[in-house]
Amino acid sequence: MTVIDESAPVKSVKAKHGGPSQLDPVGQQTHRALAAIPTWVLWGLVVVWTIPSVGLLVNSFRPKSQQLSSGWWTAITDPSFTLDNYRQAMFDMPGGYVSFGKALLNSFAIAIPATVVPILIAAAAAYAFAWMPFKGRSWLFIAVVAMMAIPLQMALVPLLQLYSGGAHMTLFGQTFTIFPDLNLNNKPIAVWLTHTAFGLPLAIFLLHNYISSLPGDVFEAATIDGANHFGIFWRIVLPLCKPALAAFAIFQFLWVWNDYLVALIFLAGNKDASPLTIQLVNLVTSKGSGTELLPSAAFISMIVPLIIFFSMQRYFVRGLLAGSVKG
Amino acid sequence: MSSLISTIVNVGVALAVLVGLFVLVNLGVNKLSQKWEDRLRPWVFVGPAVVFLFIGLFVPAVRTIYLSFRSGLSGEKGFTLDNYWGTSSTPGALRDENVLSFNGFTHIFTSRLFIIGVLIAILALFAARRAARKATGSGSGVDLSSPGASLGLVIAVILVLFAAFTAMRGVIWNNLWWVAAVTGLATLFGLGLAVLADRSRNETAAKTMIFMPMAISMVGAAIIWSYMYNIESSGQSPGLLNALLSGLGRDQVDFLRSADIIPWNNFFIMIIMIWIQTGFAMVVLSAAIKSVPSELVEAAKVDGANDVQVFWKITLPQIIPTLIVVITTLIVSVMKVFDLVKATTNGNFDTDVLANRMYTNLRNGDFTASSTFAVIILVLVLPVMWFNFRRGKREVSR
Repeated sequence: MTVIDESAPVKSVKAKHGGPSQLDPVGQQTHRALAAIPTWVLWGLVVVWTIPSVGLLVNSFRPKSQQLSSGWWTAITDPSFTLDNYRQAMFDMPGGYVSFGKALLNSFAIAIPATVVPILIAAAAAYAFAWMPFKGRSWLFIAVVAMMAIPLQMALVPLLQLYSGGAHMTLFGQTFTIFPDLNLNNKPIAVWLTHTAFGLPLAIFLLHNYISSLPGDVFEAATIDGANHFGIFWRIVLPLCKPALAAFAIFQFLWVWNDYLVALIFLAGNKDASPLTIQLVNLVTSKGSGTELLPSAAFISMIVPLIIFFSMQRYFVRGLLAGSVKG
Repeated sequence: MSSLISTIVNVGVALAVLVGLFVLVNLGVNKLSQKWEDRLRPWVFVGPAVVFLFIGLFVPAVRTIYLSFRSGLSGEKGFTLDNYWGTSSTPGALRDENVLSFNGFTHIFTSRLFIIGVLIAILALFAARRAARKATGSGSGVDLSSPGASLGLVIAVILVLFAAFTAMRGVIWNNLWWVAAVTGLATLFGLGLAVLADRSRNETAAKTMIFMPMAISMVGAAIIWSYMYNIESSGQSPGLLNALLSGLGRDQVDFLRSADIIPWNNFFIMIIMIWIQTGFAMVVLSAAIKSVPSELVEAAKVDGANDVQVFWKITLPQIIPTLIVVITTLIVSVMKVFDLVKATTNGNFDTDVLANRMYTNLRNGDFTASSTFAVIILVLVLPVMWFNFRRGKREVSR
């Protein structure tokens, strides 16, 4: 688990770029020029890294005829841009595709509950693991954290069977229903439940780290004032661990938003509820009408993550790095 | 609009029910005697998480292992090992030529990559010997930690692995190739960029741009790169790389689908993953480099060490634990690669990976075969996880 301390002081810039003072003027100039080389190389690489994304962005604004006949870089010499791709992709998809405006809503409808539910459940559990004595606490905590090691592929087949058929057991010729057939497949709730289960081990681990480091005297004082665990959790712990909640919320939201596999398995049969990733791949693989809308559609799917990325980078980095071990 | 409203209502109701239940049960527990309150309250708090994890993760994982040892499409026909081994006519996963074949084994040693890799390794050993001689003054021993030697050895290992994975084909080799290529190159590039950023101006802005691909979906990344790799055809303009090839007077190449390019089309998909993960490696390693105590660096400089020596003798040893975290994290996430392959080639053209096999079998209703591939992924990931766990325990006890 790596903790990025963004407040760490940056080492003196002067020492890096100032150059030794005992050199003569020409020597100092050469030294300054040499010191600028890393900056140039770095920004050259940044350009290389960004070119693919810029290509998509430029293409998303080019009219159909141009997109299909020439590459996006010709927009430099022959600029001609339109918002029509975005209008069509959002509201008016041709060829029987669900519009990406609808898919955007579907993604929100999946990602918001799949973020909020695990946070609430995990916060309660993390508080109990940190501050409530009970039998079997430590081994249960280890078991929960160890589940981070399970690749999500390990759970998909049985969950699919569980959601559409329930679980039954036959003992002595009698069949018992352990879990009823709720017919959840191809409904968003199947995706929520799955993401909730997958998100919990990491959420509990992160929040436990944070909550267990809160000062114990605060709780003692509250207990003396007559508060019980429920009151302490609700009024003190939840407000205090906002930074940890935010970091995990951003990680989990983006994970669910960008997820393709879980949605593909539990929701791909229901076009009207499918999130952006599913609709995008449908558009890619069809290679038929509407390919000119692919760049704008792809960009629509990236807008929300990019806004989160650029506006909440600190939390984003913290959440992403802490969560990079997720299964 | 109506769908928006119904969505909001559904989500709101679900959340309200959940929170309401939790509050109600807690208020109920408030009414109990102190003794029962203390006994029950922890389980009210832990209960929902335990139930979710038990039903949603633990039992399914156990059942997946169970299903992988059952015959019949849904495991209805009894115990078997056929999913893993099978017969020569209906091979199981590990006996299937498309999954794990050693046929190309001898080609490894004649491949150019292997020969170049071995040559670089020999040069690296010479460099190591020279470094040791310089350090001790006598003629014995090798110093593998010298810059030339260690960098050369890393590159040699990557080349030899590439030689092996391009000679021996099959889904498992493909997965291992993914792991070696993406982990190795993303870590190397990330480390290089982190060092470069440390000596540059405006480094935060630069790092942000390189880190950005981490924010978007793999499906989105696959689409972004299709405008690099596309080949010119009717109704499709060339991607940037093919336009460059045309500009140089060369024939265009279908980077992902051409029969001539197999198995290297795999590598062109891996490049997309490297493009994504380099930012991750860079940000983590950059933070580690910044946290190296500056007194150490200053002291080395006072003693007359140059920049290369400072990096190799001071910075690198200090960030080795972080390097291990980056490498293990990448191995685990790359082993499960799915979205990129699915969105680019759908596993065709010799680019299939384990997670896609798992998915295809699930879609075809062959739940036992699907489970088998899930277990293979687990088995391949477990050693890394175990290593992480051991290391974590050691660090805690320290």
